[in-house]
Amino acid sequence: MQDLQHLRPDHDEFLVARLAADDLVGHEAGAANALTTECPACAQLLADLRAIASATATLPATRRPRDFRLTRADAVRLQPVGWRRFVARFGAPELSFTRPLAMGLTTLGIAGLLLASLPAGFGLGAGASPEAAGGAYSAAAPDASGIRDLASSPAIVMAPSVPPAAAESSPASGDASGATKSTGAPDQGAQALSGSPTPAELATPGPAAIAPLSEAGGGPSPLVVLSVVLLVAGLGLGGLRRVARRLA
Amino acid sequence: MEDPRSSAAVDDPVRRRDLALIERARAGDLDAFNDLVGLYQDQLFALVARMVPDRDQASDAVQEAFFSAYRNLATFRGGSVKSWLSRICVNAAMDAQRARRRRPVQPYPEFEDESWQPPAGEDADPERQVVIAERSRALAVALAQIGEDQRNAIVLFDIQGFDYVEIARMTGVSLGTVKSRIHRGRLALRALLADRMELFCG
Repeated sequence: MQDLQHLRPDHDEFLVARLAADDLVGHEAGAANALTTECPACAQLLADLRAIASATATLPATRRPRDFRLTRADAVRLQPVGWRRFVARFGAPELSFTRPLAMGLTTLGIAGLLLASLPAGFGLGAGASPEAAGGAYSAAAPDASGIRDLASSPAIVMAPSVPPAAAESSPASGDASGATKSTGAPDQGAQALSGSPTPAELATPGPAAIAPLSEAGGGPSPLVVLSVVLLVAGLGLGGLRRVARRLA
Repeated sequence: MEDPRSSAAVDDPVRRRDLALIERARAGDLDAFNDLVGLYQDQLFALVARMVPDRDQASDAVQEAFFSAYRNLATFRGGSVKSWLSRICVNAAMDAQRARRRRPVQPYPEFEDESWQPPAGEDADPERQVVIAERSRALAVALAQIGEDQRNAIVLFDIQGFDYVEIARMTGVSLGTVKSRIHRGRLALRALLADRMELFCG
């Protein structure tokens, strides 16, 4: 058989195949007709494709080797009864909405549990509320005005915490640096004397400030309960659909 | 969508018959379902046998398809029962093709004997019958050798007579893909039959 590519540089077998199937209109049909008119190999290809299509359509049917009718035993086996019948309903097209519903419920449940596990400091935890956050901080932190009072009180201004030996050896420099330092941030030693928390302690919320998954009363928070319910419902619905498809 | 229970909406007597049988089958009448099987099992086996060249696997696929149809009678939403059954059979055939890929068997043993061929008519010209038989064999072998997607499209279009839209729905691809598979499948057949094209002339 001739190599069709050698006859014309723009020979397009696929175009000829589309022409053979009468799938061309407009300028494409014109181009294909021109191709088959001018190129003998293309014309032969067209004729061959049409002959093959015609022969395929009249291909004799293969004889079936047996009868495919169902027996009574097959019917009993194939029709679900009892709990299988109930579960099989979830695979019906009418209930196809249960799939996205199951995914949505599961997602909401997981999201709720994640939110419930966040610390109250983020304002999103289960026990978090503006009052609770403020109260937690107020329990751990002193009044800010109290800090300023301490800093400005002349009785509290004193030398920085230096080893006693160093302080004794250079009292003049210690006094100057102490005076300089006393005008800055509150002295940690002064605060320690007054019993107020240090800035380091203020930076880290204490255990009371972290909202637990359970409320102060001892039971799980509503968000947790709701999230678990949604998660179980979503997973349950998804599981029912999976079993229904297996039964089908 | 038309109501399958409204026979007034169905003018075609064949479709009316099929819909009535489906309704009875849904109500639990096994004989009605078996009547449907009897009407379409030859055609559907021929469809699957072209898609799955192994006769035993094709037979199993068709049986499984009818089991599936009976189990899922509730999923029939109206329209052509033949198309619905064909769709189930096509899915079963594609499952069998996937299984064949995983466990390759001896290729095309069914072509080594003639028992799968339908008998010749009584008035047939013997010489003509030999040519036709040889052409059918060559075409069947070539059809089994091209790609599965192309073969499925050609079988559904040329042999079963479904249109592009129905084939696209059955196989889950676009209209353009269906056409492309048919055209390229025919080109592939022609390449395989290049030295035997004299059987197709006249």
